[in-house]
Amino acid sequence: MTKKQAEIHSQIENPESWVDLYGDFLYHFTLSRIKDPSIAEDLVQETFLAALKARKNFRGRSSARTWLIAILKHKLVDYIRKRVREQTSDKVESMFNAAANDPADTSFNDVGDWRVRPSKWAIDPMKLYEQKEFMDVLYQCLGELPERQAEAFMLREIDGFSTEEICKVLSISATNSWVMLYRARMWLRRCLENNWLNTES
Amino acid sequence: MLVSECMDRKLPLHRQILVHAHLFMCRYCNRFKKQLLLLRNAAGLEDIHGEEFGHSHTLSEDARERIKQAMRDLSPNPGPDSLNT
Repeated sequence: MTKKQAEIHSQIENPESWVDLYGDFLYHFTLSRIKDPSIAEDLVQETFLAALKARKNFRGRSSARTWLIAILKHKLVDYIRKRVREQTSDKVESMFNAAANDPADTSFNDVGDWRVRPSKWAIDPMKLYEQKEFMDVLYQCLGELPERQAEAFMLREIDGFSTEEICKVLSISATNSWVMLYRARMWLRRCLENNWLNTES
Repeated sequence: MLVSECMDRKLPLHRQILVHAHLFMCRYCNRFKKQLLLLRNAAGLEDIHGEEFGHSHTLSEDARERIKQAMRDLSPNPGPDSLNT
């Protein structure tokens, strides 16, 4: 075991240290998305409890902090999804009722050309961490995605799972996983264009 | 769909060639691919900057203790990994 691996192992095996080591970081991250301090505290608590239950599954591929933030992001999206279902969102155009406008089905014509070409996004990919509006809308859009697609997307892009791992978790075939990821990405891209690009201009 | 799929697996060689050739010629699909990669980077971000939002960025002592107690309650068996002090 390398020194770094030993350090990660030590952190995971010592849950007493998590709140003091990572609590403020997780809280800050949550508060930047959810403006309510008490809900942010609840989500941080849920994250630590989920991590405590799942720590035997931690494989050491990432640091403890990265692992915890990934769990937190899942909790965050679940909370946003629940909030979206409970209230009408006047900021994000809901995609739930737009089955007939699923961008995966409607973006291309019969010969495979773009029906509506992707707009140019005025965003510096090197400075994503400064784009608070973009990140707010991204998490809101994740909360709007159908749950299975959101789960597939988060397993892939937040947890870094391989196709094989995603298939095991979701009990789907490899082909299904690629289709779900494609549909999720198309929805998110369209949602961002509709709800963020518009506010930018 | 192939642009999305190549983010998740290595395509067969003939499809890789098709995708690369198409991306070389089609600026909209190129733009689409960059946007999908941006989504990937954004989803993986851990650090956030931005304007102050008027709240303390740190957990209060009460919240800290509450969370630790909830973790202790979840660990019913005292042992080396226990949260009980």
